[in-house]
Formats: sequence, C-alpha cells, structure tokens
Amino acid sequence: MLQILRGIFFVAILILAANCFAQIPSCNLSLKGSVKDNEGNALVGAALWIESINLGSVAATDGTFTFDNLCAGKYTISIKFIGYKDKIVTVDIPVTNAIKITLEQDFQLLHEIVVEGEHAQQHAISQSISVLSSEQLDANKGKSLGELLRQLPGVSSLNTGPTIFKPVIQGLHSHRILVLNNGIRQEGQQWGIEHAPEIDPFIASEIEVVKGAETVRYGADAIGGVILVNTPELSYTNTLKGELNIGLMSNGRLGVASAMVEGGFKKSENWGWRLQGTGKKAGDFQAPNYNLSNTGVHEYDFSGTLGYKKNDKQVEIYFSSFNTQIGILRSAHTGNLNDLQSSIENQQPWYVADFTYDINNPRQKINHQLLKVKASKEIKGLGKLNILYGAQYNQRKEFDIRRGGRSDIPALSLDLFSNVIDASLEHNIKNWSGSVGINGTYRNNSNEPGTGIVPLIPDYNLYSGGLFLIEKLRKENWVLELGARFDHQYLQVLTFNKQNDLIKPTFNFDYVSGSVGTSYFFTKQSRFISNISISSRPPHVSELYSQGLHHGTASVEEGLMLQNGDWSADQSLIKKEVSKKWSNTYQFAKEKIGFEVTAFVNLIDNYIYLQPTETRLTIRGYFPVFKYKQTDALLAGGDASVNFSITEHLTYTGKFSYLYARDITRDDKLPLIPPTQLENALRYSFNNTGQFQKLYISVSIPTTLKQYRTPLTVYPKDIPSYTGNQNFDFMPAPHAYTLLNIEAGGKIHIWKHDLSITLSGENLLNTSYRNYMNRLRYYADDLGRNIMLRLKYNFY
Amino acid sequence: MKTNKPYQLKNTVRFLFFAFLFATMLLSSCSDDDPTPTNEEEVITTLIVDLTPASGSGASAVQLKFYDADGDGSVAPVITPAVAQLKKGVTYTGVITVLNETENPVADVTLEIKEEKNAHLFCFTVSGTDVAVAYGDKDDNNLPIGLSNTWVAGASGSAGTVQVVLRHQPGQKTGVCPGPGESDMDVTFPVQIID
Repeated sequence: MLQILRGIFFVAILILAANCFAQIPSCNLSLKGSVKDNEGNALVGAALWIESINLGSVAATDGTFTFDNLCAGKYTISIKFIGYKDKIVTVDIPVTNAIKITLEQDFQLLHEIVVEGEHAQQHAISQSISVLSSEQLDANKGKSLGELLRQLPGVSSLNTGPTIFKPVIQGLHSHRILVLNNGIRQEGQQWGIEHAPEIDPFIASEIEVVKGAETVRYGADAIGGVILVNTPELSYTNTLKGELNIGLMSNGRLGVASAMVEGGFKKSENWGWRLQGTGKKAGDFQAPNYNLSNTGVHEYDFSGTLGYKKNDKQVEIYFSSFNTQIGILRSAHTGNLNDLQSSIENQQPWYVADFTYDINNPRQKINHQLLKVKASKEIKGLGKLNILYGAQYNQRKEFDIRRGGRSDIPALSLDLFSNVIDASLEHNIKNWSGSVGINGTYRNNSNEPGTGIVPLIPDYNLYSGGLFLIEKLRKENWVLELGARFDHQYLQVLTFNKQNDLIKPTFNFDYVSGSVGTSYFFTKQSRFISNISISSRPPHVSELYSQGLHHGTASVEEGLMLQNGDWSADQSLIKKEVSKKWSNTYQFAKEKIGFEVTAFVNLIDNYIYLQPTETRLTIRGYFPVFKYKQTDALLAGGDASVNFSITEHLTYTGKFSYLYARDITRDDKLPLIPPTQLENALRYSFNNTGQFQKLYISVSIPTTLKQYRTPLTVYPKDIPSYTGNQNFDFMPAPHAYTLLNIEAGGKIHIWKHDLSITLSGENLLNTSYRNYMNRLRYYADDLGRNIMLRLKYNFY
Repeated sequence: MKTNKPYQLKNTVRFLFFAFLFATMLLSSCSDDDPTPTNEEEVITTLIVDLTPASGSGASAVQLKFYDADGDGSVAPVITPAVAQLKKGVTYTGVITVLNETENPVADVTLEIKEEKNAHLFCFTVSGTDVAVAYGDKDDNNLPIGLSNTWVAGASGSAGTVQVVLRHQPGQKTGVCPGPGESDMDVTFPVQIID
C-alpha cells in the first residue's frame, strides 16, 4: 500500500516538475554572494531582501546566497540577521563576481531577536521558548532527541535505561507533547512510557522547545508544549556542499556516523536538494560497577529533500526513514511482584554479562517513514499561503521473553498510518499580522495478528479536523497575540468484549482552545512575556482501552472504559482534559549578563493518569491494578537560567528548574514528577590563533535533588496487604546526586575547510546514582563515566 | 508568466488535496478488514499438583488446584481444596500439570515446560508446616525440574502453606532457587498435616 502511495507521489512530483520547466524566465541573470561577520564566520540564515521586486533569499550554511531570474538594472538589497546591525547595499546587475557582505555585531541583542526573528518563528512569540543551537547540537551528537533536550531548563526526560528518552516539558509528556519533525506533526506511538520519539537528531540544525500550550496552532497534542526539530533551509545553489560527523563514546562503545550532501542542479538555479544519512551502533552500556546487559542500540536513518523555488512560490518534498532496534535491560523484565521485590532488595541487576553488541529480548524494533510535501506561495493582496501534506507509517514491534519458542514472535506489533494536511494563510495588514488555517488528520492504527497476546491498545480509526485563527498586534514596545481554535474528532475503536465478539464503539469529541499573550519591552534589553491559555484534549485510545500486564513495572494497566471486567458503552465516563495555564517570563540581555526567569501555574481539570485501584491475585501471584482515571491536578513551577561574562574569556552559566504537582481532588502527590535540578557551568574561550579557532574548555556540574514529593512507598512485598487507594511507588525516590562533566573543543582549518573537534567526559567521577525519572531505577544504577570524541568536517 | 502562477499553485493544492483524499480512502477501505480476536497462547489458567500417597499408607490422594479462568483479568481465581490435608508421616508422589483452559481444546502447557526443561525450574517453599518437598526429575544438564516430585508429611500436626513457583530461566538455569530469570507462576496452597 505504501508503495502505491509512493508511486502516486512520484508521478505527481514529475507532473509538478514538468509544469515548472514549462515557464521560461524573461530575465535570467543571477546574483551570488556571501554574508559574513567581522571575523569571517558565515552568518547562516541571514535574510536578504530586494524591496523593489519583492524577492528574498536566505544565507545557506556557508553564508552564501543567490538571487535568480533578475533583470539587468540597479537593485537595493537589505540584509538582516539576528544580533547584527542591518545593512543596505546597492548592486548593478549584471555583476561578474560574487559579492561579499559583512555585518557588524549589535549588542542590543534581545530586541533584535524578537523583532527580526519573528517572521521565521513558527510558534507564538508570547511563549517561553528554549533553543538548542547548532553548536550545542554538535557538542552532543550521537545522543537521542530526548536526551539532548534535557539540557534546557524546564525540560527533563522520562527514560527507560540509557537509550529510551521521552521528553518531559514542565511535568507533562507523552500525548500531551507534540514533536514537529521538520514542520510536520510526528505521528508515532507515544502512549507508552518506553516509547521515545522516532527522530534522528542529526537532521536538525536547531531544536526549539515551546514551554506552553500551543494547541491553538497545532491541536490537542500540544497541551504541554511543542518540540520543533528544525532542519536547515535548502541552499538552492549549484555548489556541492556537505558535512561529515563522527562520534565515539566509551560507554556502550558507541559509534555514530552521519553524512550530509546538498546542492542544486546545473543550468537551473531554482532547485535544491539534500541527502542525509546516519548509522549508529552501541552495545551494552555500563553503570560504574557493572554492565547494563542488553541495553544496546542499532540504528540507521536517512532523509532526502528536494525543493523548487521561484520568485514567490516554493515546493518542497521531504522523505525520512528512521529505523532502530533497542535492547531493554535484561534484568528489568519481571514475572511478578516477588521478582520486583528481589530486584529492589539486591540493589543490583540479577543478570550481568560480558559486554556485547548483540541485542536480545526484551527489545524494540521501530521503523518510522515520513513523506512530506510543502508548498507556499505569496498571493497578492491576501498573504502567504502554506500547504503541508504528510504521510507517516510507524511500525513498532516489541519482543519479550516468552515460552514455547515464541520469543521471535513480537509480543506487540502495531502499524500506525497517518495522513495530515495543513493549510494556512498568513496575512499582514498594518500592525496586525496573523494566520488562519485548517487542518485534517486521519490515523489508522492496527495490530498485526499472530502475536498470541491480547493487544495492549486496540485497533482504531481517527478522523479529526481543526480550524484556527491567530492574530498579532505589534506596537513600538509591545506585542499582543490572540488565538482560538476549534476541533472535531471522530474516533472508532475496534476491540473485543468479554465474549470475544467484535465491538466498534465510536466517539465524537468537540473541543476548543484559546490563548492570549503579550510581550512587553521595558527597554531594548529587557522584556516581559505573559501568556494565558486554555486548551483541551480528548482522551487518547490508550487511556480509554488499554488492557494488559506491564512486565517492566509488574502491574496491570486498564483503560477508562473498562468497568467490572468488560468494556462499558457509557461515554459519560469520560471527560475532556482541560488545561488552564498562565506562564510569565522575564528576559534580560546585555553585553555581560543575560538571564531569563519563568514562572507558571497550570490547572488541569480531568487530568488523566494511572491510579492504583486494587490488588489482583493471578496464577503469577499478586499484581497491583492501575487504571486510567480523571482528577483535577495542579502543576506549578519555575525555570531560570543566567549567563555572566566574568572576563572577556570566562563565562558562567547557571540553570535551575523546580516543579510542584498535586492531585487536588484526591489530595495526593502525582507520580513521576521531575525533581528539582540545577546546573553550574564555567566556560573559558581562547583567542583564535592561526589554524585553531573557537577553542574552549567548559566544566559543568549538574545537580539533581531528591524528589521529596513522591507518592507513598509500598514495597512489592506489601502490595497484597495494601488496601488503600492512595498513589504509591514501589521504592523511595533515589538520593540527590551531582555529576562532573568537562568538555573541550575547537575548530582546525584543514584542507581548506573546518574540522570541529569536541572531546567531552560525562560523569567523570564515575558516581553511582539512580535517577527518579528512569524507569530502570528499580533494577540498576544509571550510567557511569562516558568519554566522547566528536568530529565534524564541512566541505564545499 | 504571471498568469501562470495561480495555475501552478492550484495544481499543487489540488494534488495535495487529492493525495490526502486518496490515501485516506485507501486506508479507510483497508481498515474495513475487521480484526480477529487474539488467541492468548501463553496464558496459564490452571496449576494442578496431584499427590498420590505411597501404597499401604492408608492415606487418600490429594489434588491441589489453582484455577484462574481469565489470566490477568478481573475474575478471581479459585484455589481447591481450601486447606489440603496430608497424613502424618506419609510420602506422596507429586505430579504437576499446567493447563491453558482458554484454548479449545485445552492446551497442555506441561508439554511446553517439558520441551524447555533446561530453562524451567519449579521452586517449592514451605512455611509454617512440616512438609519436605524433593525433586523427582532431572533435565539434560542434570539439574532438577520439579514436574515430578515427592512430598513427605512430617510428624507435627501443624498448618501452613506450600508455595509453588515456576521460574523461567532461558540460558541461565543453575538449579538453585529462586536463581535468575522471572516467575511464570507463583501460587500458594494452604496445607495442614493431620493424624
């Protein structure tokens, strides 16, 4: 079926391409050049604009730009880049050589960031946003998406061992968080605690995290925040360029290589393309005192982009394939509560073997294919029309330790096919700008038959449609942002009742979201951002129809619709989850000091989470039963970050996040809330000397405090006699820990190009610790010392 | 040239719209294939320990049975008898049978355990009563299995429990209880010794 689809797309692409070629430009001159700073560094993403003909261009990764189809004559080009002073140059076309443009740095950074960056921003400007720059990404290449994001204040992760990281934004995760993969909503299986986003971070040039509800723009999945994985713009130049990355890690003996090439086509300068691929292999990771057996990962990913751009219209086709196989710590597979009890008592895993790259059961095998088509066009008098279509095919297979030679048969085998179409019209009238859009989604989830195990989540079909309007009013010192959205969702579930008869319950959900935000500049160096949003979310199928035993936590999990041992037809059992969040941020940035403080309060009505309901005796022994239930919850907290230039070379950076969470209705503590975290770091930058550039060394000391606000502790052995209905955890929260990380890096000019080298060490003191947010903390310590070497070579 | 542009865009819009519609229809028609109910192959519903007294002891046979109709589901299991009565000083020969009664015909899981005997070990834990359980069978590595066993009822008239656990230890069996691996069954029978 996918092949048929692919076929259709390629035919369509050909038709489109043929169409494009049919146009013969009347003026075919072009202008080439580059944008750099005083030190000769390329200013990637600098915006160039020729006002007289309404034509723009963006500087590519090496700072180069091209304007095509120009007629002979005089043109005035304005150049803008965040953090640099605007420049205007005049050129007489034709010119024979490439022109060089140098921009001067502007220290009144903040105001510029906001005003100039606004156009490119895909998210609300009145939200608190954290960014991982390409430099930060480079220094962490080889890590998974969720692990990378942990560096940002207010973002943590919920992990299963050293390779599976789920991002958590201000306490919310899974289907309350949306990941935008190159502009398209990632449609994977995010309902499980051991389901990480299916994205290769090597595709990204920048990752942004919006720490607030963005449901107005993106729909219900964005109730807790959005992660934007941004790929670099295509360069649309005929020069062949590329990048090679190699990473090695001592822990897990991980090796990763990633390559990218991009360019255009001869004769035509309207086309751009990029190919990228990544291969990664790691074996068993190590805790300070033992191997974490069966925690390896084997992954290969590739992606390709083809773009066509002419004047005011643009079409881009993007395909990506993500394929991974991940081992889950062998000792974390439990048969029953007694197994879990002995794991907790022994304080170390029962299975420790010699290092191997082999991955055995339990393991996961995940494939995710994405096809995206994006088109945009300026329509005179109306604005910019964007259309985005995406098809995604997600396959998840989970293999367990099974009896009777069934270990090669997946215990869970899910195929999720989704189709997304988004259309939006951006407009700009005087001080008002905004966008109006519609969005349609179709999702089909099916369980592959033959697993021999009743599926954890049933088959379903989901259709949803949404309509949104966002308006922005911009004045000298402030910006006001308003947004509203309406969605309808039709859900059909295909499952079996107690008598094994097929039932097809259907649901219709209507939900609205709205937000008001403002950004006010006190001075050019300081601003205050405030945002209030009300967003609602229909329950996910897993929350309605889950059913089964979870071997990792020795507990039975059941959906909301299960009543007295069978599926109920009473839809009054479910209520919409409604989040009311108020977030305030103050930012300050001057030459020597910059800081940002965010405080938020989030009241969630009908918050859905797993609550213990009973203890059940089965032939495997006793199990606690957790059921998805709704309650009112409060999450409040704050994030702060500061950087201070002590001397010209020495910079201090500090980060802090705190979160308070409570089940208001039941007056109880919520499980899996990230503990307070802080980090202190010093960075020394050396002067550039000849071949060596941007040399630095940094020392960072992250500290994670103990989570004191944990649910009651009930050890597995006490579960049979536990009759309360308070939330509980099987063991107390681990102690606080502090780690030592050191990183050094720089650029060397070799063979005419730059080679970036980073050498870093994490947990250098080899401290044994357990992380409250790691599901494997019942079984084993977290990672020991890890020494990493990363090389990046750019050629063009 | 200018007049061309809207067509270009229209084509793109049309293409995307039809691609979406087409893909959706294609998928919708696929999903009309209704799923079939899953046959739970690995569920164990029944554990039976048949205890046969040595001939001439005057004791009668005892059957310990744990039956759970729906595996992990909410139906409560039934343990019979309420308290198993063993006769003082008598040696019983025990045979374990494991069944999956959700299948029709009933699946005999004992056969699977026998086939994978090198990866399975029954563990017996006696508490509060005077019963000694010994293994009566060996796997290929000369390690005990426990499907066949002997139960010796001691002298005192005490009442307590015997816990029967099936350990699944692929590639790791050492013959020591509980050892590595995970529990596939964990059942406790009340046992009393009578005169």
